[in-house]
Amino acid sequence: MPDQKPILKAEDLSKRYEDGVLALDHLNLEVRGGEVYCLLGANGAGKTTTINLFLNFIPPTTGTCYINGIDVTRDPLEAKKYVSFVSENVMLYGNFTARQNLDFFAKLGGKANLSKEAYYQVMRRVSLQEKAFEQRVKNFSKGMRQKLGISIAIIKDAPAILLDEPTSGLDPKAAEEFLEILAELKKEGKAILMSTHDIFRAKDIADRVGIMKEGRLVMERTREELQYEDLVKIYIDYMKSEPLTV
Amino acid sequence: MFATIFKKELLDQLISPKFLIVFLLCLVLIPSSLLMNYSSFKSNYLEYDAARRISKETTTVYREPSILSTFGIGLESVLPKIVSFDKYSRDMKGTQAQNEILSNITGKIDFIVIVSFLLGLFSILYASTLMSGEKESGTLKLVLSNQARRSTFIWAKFLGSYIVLIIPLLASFLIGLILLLLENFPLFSGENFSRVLFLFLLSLLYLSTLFSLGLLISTRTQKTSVALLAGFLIWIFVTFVIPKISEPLAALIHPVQSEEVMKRNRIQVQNQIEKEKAKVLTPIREQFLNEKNTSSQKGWDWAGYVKARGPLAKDYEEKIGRTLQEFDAQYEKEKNTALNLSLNIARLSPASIFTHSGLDLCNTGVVDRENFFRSLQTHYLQLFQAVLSKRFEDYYDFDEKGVAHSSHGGGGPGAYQTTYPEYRYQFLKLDATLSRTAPDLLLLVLYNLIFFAAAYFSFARYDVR
Repeated sequence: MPDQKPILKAEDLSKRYEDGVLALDHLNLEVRGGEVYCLLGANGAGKTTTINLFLNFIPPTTGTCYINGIDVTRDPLEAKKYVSFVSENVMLYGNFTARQNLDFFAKLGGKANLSKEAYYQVMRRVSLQEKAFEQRVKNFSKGMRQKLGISIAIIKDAPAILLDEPTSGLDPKAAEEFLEILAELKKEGKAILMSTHDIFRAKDIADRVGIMKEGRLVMERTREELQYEDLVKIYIDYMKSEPLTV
Repeated sequence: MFATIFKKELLDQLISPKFLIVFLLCLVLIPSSLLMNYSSFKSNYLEYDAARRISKETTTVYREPSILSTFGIGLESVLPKIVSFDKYSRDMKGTQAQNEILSNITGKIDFIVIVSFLLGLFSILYASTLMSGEKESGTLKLVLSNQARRSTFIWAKFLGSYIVLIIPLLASFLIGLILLLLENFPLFSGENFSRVLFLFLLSLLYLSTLFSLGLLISTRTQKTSVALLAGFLIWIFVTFVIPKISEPLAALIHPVQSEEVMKRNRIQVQNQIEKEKAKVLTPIREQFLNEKNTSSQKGWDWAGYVKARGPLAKDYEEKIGRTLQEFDAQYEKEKNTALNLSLNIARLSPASIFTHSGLDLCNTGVVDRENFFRSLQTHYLQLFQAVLSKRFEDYYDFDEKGVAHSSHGGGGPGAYQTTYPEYRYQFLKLDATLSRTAPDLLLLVLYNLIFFAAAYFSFARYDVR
């Protein structure tokens, strides 16, 4: 069961871009340790903006993000100690091997002087083929790169993990393997916030699901609630409903 | 954090194919251009030395070629090798350009050209993908999701990549210098070493300026393809368009008549006074230079003519000298105004600044051209005092167009019992060159700071999406 302390918290969070687009509208959200929160929504609904705000990639127009109780805008470097990130399409440095990439990002994440074996162990954990450890990443498939991406998140060992559509474009087997790793991380007590289009897998793994539309969190359901409701129907109904801005 | 990103950048660039390409190109082009240009200098110097030894006691002078043309040819192939003076004019001939026709069509290659064009291009292209590449591949998000400051990231990437760009330049330059030393190039003689060192440092400054410009492009673009295209277009503008249009544009703003027109006008001015002189001298000519010996005419008496013409011609000769000097000074002033305007326009481009300053360090630039012509003027005045003032040429029988159909000339008293002043072109001293190029160097530093600061603030404010 998730403990009660929220590791990721968004308070009245809004983002309006310079071109006037309101990408996020007063979002309130909490993710606790040992909990997986899936954000669903169409393209442009505000899922990636939420993650970008948590990572201080963009400044919020109003509101605050907290990671492990630290205000991300006020002390971004301290906040980033406690979060790992996996993007939609992990490209990494193509001229480097898997281990070299892992080594670089481990050092950035504050894990200096790890042994080669430590890197190999993490890569084995995500089921990356042994022969790929010392191969250049530019020859990797997307599935292999995503596995390496989650290795980077694992090796940092941060209490929170943000994932931006990590299974997009993966074949079913690779996506399944990816979610198994997430399930393990959840068991370890990580707070996981994942944006995704994959309703079925979201239902499988999430403790809570939020549906976003036009920058607003329009619906939130717990795993228990979803046992009695059809998430697909709820999602499609929300997508078909009248635009919120009308 | 800085060390981690810096090391990663060094390694990433060192193992990339583009590093190998730049390295090989530099390794082939720089040493070979140095050797070829040194060989060309040696043959020019032999030619100059032989000519100078043979022709002592004349009114002809020879320009010593600059040994540093090995690094930058510049105006070396355009300035005259031989200048012959007469009383009121000088004749310049024997430019190296006349002997190297194909090289002048295709353009000559030297260290300055290689750095300005080739490494300049690589510099912009290298840097223009630094940030755009990270954005496109998504690695920027991954890096910034950690505790890396943006300022640390941009500095580490800039320095790491810049050092990798400099490695091929440094290695091939050192190899080139070793090969030159094996060919007995006097690197440690006089100011040569200091000038070469300054040239190399100037190259580093120039490349870092273009690198900063490339970095600015990369912070303003999202895709490497767009960044490369933008970088290439800016490179064309900086290395071709601005330097090439500066002179025609200056000529449009401040037109100066051509050398040929100037010479024609000069002759007209001279002839006008010569005609007045002829009127005064005609009775003397008839008196002394007549084949028929009558009671009033003494036949051909050259000595009598020379003696009698002296006091009468003196005022006119002084007037011709003064008028033509004023004419030349005015023309030179006009030309210098246009040249300075053109140089100021060219200063909009870091490539122009580098080329002009680099050539000045090689004693083959605009500053040395001025120095050369100033030395010619000084020599002319000495020569005039010692020799030319004692010679004369009297023109007669002017037609309606103002053209003289006969003349009598030769040496006046003491014209051939004099010592000719010696001419040896003195290259500008390094401190004089540096004081002339200092504003340009500061401008290059300023461009560098502006481009880097713009890139820095652009990246700091960039919304990572």
